[in-house]
Amino acid sequence: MNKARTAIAFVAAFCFVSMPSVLADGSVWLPTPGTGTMTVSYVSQSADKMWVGKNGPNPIPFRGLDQSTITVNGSYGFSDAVSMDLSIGRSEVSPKNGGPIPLSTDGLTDAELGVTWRFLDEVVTGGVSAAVRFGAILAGNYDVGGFGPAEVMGDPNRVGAGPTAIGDGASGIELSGIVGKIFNNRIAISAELGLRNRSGNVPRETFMNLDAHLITGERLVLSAQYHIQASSGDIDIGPPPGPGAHGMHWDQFPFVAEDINRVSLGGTVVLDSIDIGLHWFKVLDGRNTAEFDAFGGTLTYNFGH
Amino acid sequence: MRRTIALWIAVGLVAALVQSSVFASGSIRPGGAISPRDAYTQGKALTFQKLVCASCPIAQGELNRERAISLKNSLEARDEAVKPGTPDDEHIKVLGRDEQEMVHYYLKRRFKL
Repeated sequence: MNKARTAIAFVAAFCFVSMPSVLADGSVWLPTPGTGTMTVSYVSQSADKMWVGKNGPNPIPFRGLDQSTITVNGSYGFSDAVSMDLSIGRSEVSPKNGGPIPLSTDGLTDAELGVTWRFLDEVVTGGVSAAVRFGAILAGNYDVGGFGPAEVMGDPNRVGAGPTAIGDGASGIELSGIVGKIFNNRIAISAELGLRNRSGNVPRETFMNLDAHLITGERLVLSAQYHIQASSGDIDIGPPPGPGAHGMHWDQFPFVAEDINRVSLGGTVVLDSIDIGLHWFKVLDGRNTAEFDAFGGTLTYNFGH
Repeated sequence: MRRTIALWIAVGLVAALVQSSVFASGSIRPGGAISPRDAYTQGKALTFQKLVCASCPIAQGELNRERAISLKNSLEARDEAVKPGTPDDEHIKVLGRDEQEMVHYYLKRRFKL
C-alpha cells in the first residue's frame, strides 16, 4: 500500500515537470513526443542605475531605460529524448529622459533555434536527468553601435542606437549541458552551464542557470531562478580613447564585456490546455549593465495532447 | 576654469552615453513554466517503476519496440476472452486499470505504435 502511495505521489510530482521552460534556457524535462507548446510572453523592464565596468550601480544620466518585449516561443518533442525550441520577439527601448540622444528604438529581437538531446533519464535510471542543448542565434533587426542619429552625430562611426540597442546585433551559437532531478516528489531542481559564441568581436559568454520548482498542487507551480552571465571581453564602457584617456570607440558598443547576476521568482497556474505565468526579475550585480527590474507574463498553449 | 568645467561636463555626458550603450542587450524574457499534465510522463514513470526495473516482471533493457508491441497487445486484450498468449498477459497485472491506460499511452507514443 505504501509502495502504491509512493508510486502515485511520484507520478503526480513527475508529471509537473514534463514541459520545458518557455525560455530558450535548456531543460531536461522535454515535451512528450508529438506534442509541444506555444507561448506568448510580455516583459516590462526598467532601470535607473547602472554599473560602469564593475563600479556601481550609479544613476543613469538620462534617468534610466525602459524596455518592453513581446516574445513568441515554441517547443516540440520529436522523440522521447529529442526536442526543439524556437523563439522570436519584438522589443522597444526608450530612455526615460532622452532627446535628441539617446534614441528610442524598436525592432525584432534575436531569433533562437535550439535542439535538446537528453541522454540520461531519471525515470529510467533512477539517477539524474542530463541533456545537452545546441542553439543557433540569428541576429535580429535593430540598430547597434554609435549612440545617436546621423543628423545629430555626423561621424558615421558614432551613428547608431547606442544605449537603446536591443542586443549585440550578431548571430552565433550556444552549447550547454543541463542536469536536473526531482526531490521528495515536490521539488524539481536543475542546473544549466553553457557557452555562447557570437560572430565578430562580440565577447564569448559563459552562462549558468540554477532553477528550482516547487510543486504546490495540481494547478500551481512556483519557480525561482538564479542566472549568471560572465563575458570573456575586456572592454569596459567609458569615454572615447584619446591622449591620456582609456576607453572605447563608438562602434565597439556590442563588444563590451557584460556580466549579469540576476534572480527571478515566479508562479505558473496550470489550466486544462493553457498555462498562465507571472515572473519578477531583479539584476543583483553586473559589469557594464543596468540594474534592471522586470515583470513578465506568459500565456502558454499546449498542443498535441 | 569655466572652459575646463565645460570640457569635463562634455566628457561626462559622452561617457555616460557610451557607458549605458549595452544596457538594452540585457533583454529579459520570462520562463520557468512546467506543467502537471502529461499522461505520457505518468505512463513512463509507471512503466519503469512497476513493469520494467530490476525487481519488476521485465528486466531493464528488455523494453524495445518488439516488447512494446507485445505489451500493447496484452493491454488492449485485457478484457478479452482471447489473450495474445504471451507472458506479458500476466505482467501487465502489476498495474491498476488506470495505470494500464497510462502505460498503454506511453508505449504507443514512445514507440510510435
